[in-house]
Amino acid sequence: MPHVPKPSGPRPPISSVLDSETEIKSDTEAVFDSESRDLLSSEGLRFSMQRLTDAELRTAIHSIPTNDRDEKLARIEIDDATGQHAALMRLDHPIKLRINGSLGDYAFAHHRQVVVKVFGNVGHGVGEGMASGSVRIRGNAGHGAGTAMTGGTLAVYGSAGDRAGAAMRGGGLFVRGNAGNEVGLGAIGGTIVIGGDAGENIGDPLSDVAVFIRGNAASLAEGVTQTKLRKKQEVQLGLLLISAGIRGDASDFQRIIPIAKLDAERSARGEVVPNWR
Amino acid sequence: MGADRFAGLHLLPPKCTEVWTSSHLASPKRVIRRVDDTNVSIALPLFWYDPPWIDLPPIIAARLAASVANMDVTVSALHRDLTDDDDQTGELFQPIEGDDPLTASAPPRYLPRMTPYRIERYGFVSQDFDHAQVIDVRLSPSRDSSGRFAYSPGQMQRWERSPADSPISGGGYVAASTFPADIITVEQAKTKLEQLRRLAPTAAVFISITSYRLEEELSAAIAAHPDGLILRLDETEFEGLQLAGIVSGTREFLRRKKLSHLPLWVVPGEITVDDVSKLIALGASAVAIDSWCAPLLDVIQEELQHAHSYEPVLREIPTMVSHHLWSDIDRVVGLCSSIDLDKPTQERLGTYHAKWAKACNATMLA
Repeated sequence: MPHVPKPSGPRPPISSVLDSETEIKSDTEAVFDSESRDLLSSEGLRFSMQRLTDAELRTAIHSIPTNDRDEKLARIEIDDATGQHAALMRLDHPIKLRINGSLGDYAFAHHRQVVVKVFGNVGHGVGEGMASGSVRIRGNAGHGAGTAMTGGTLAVYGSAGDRAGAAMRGGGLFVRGNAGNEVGLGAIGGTIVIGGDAGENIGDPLSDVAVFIRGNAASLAEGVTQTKLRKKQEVQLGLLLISAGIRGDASDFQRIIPIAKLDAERSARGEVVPNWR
Repeated sequence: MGADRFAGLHLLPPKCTEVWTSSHLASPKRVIRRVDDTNVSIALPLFWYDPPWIDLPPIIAARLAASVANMDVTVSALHRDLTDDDDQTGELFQPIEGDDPLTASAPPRYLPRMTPYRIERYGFVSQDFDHAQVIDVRLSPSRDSSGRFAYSPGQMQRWERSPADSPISGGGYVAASTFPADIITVEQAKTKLEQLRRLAPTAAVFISITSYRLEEELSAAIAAHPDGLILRLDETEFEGLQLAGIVSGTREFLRRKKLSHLPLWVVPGEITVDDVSKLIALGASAVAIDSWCAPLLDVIQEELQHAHSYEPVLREIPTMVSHHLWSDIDRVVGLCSSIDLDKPTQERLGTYHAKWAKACNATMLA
């Protein structure tokens, strides 16, 4: 039987302004469902993961013609996702995909261009090495979400496991719920946004990654600190939240930053010194 | 090249008491069968495991890598090790030119290359999977030349293309990680390797481990069902006797686990031509020759100091590589042609020293 992953991150917070019934509806279902209504239009194609192998599915997706003059991307709906591992990796085609069901480990690794929505959970290492496009997961993600990603947007509307955004090199990782331990371990670029709480050792003292958190972290990694956002960052984060389809006020977030980098910022009167170590 | 580390071992010639047969010249070519039954051909049992590409300008590194690979030595490199522009492709990654026009319809051939899949994947791009013969999944960090488990600012700049005025991590060393973030357990690593086979359909997926806690790490590695193992024995100064014992012991461990067929590539550090063939007789399937290639870098760096442009150095590199490596490689091919891998170690290797016989199961000769 295929493995359907269960992330081991902390439980979602019980009370949060943004987790009220109304917000959940507007934040996840409405955003996802508006897209799904489009997908049911006559221009959408439908494939089954039970009837096609992953290689056949990838070939079929890549063979769909795209029209450079048409701003609307072609849409494909994929059914029968039941926890398949290493699914739909290395897609590089300007289309939209809707996946009905859950996928296993390493889904959408080395992903480019494609705009994906998954109506289910994903396993470990989702979006590993992804370079562009977007992947939005309505459910939960396992450990190592967005490992070594270099670009694009990976948004998890549920919770994510340990080491989310590990070794990230660029792009944006958004977790609307909670994240596990060691968020951003070894990350050297990009943006990580945690809408809920985080586990132990969030951040990395050697990291250039921007980590924003709305809830609480069980502990910070040694050499990092938690501080308020600057006005400019609030604006940037606000835009990022909009682009990820996550509602919320950027001023509710705090940032996790290496102490050395914060000291450098302060001593430079607000200007970030590139060589802060 | 230093002294023989396996001077106490001797490759045994055929017995003179056997019935007269012509000597069988074994081919150095090997075929690795992936877990999914795809075959990967390896022309020579030699590879360049950890070239310090950062010590050379990318264009020079690219020519050196291609020249060594052109000798049928499998060379380890990432795209970004060998170019400073993602729109360019280093020679090592390009199809081989000048193939027979009669076979023009055949798929293009590529130079032998292995892709280092480091724990953090800094510098890695998706194209690094394409046309590789081996994906080297490194499950533990290695020290850089300064002794750190870290990557230097220059290395990070080469890999990540960061602007000079905005260095990665504020311009300091970036610490290496200890285990891949997206591998959860030893059992789950099998899924990771299956993922890599799908991403690199022409490559055998190997796991490389160090020799510390060998039995524990070997058990973990084989549980992931790799297509081969790389044993890194270059990080400390092992004596020849220890090295021979570890390689022989590892092969015996694999035999007990019914994995005799599993390729075992060995990174021994300093090694001579004769010792390469003895390692193969001990059970190694291929041997790293980093110590043979290191002088090439020294010579090239020296030449670059006196050259007004890269062009003359670029022109010289293929000849220089051929001149430096050809006779050694030919002797490895020659010595290996006399090793019958179907016979047990006792019939391949002999020694006059009891400690050698005990360490690696060689025949005691006197």
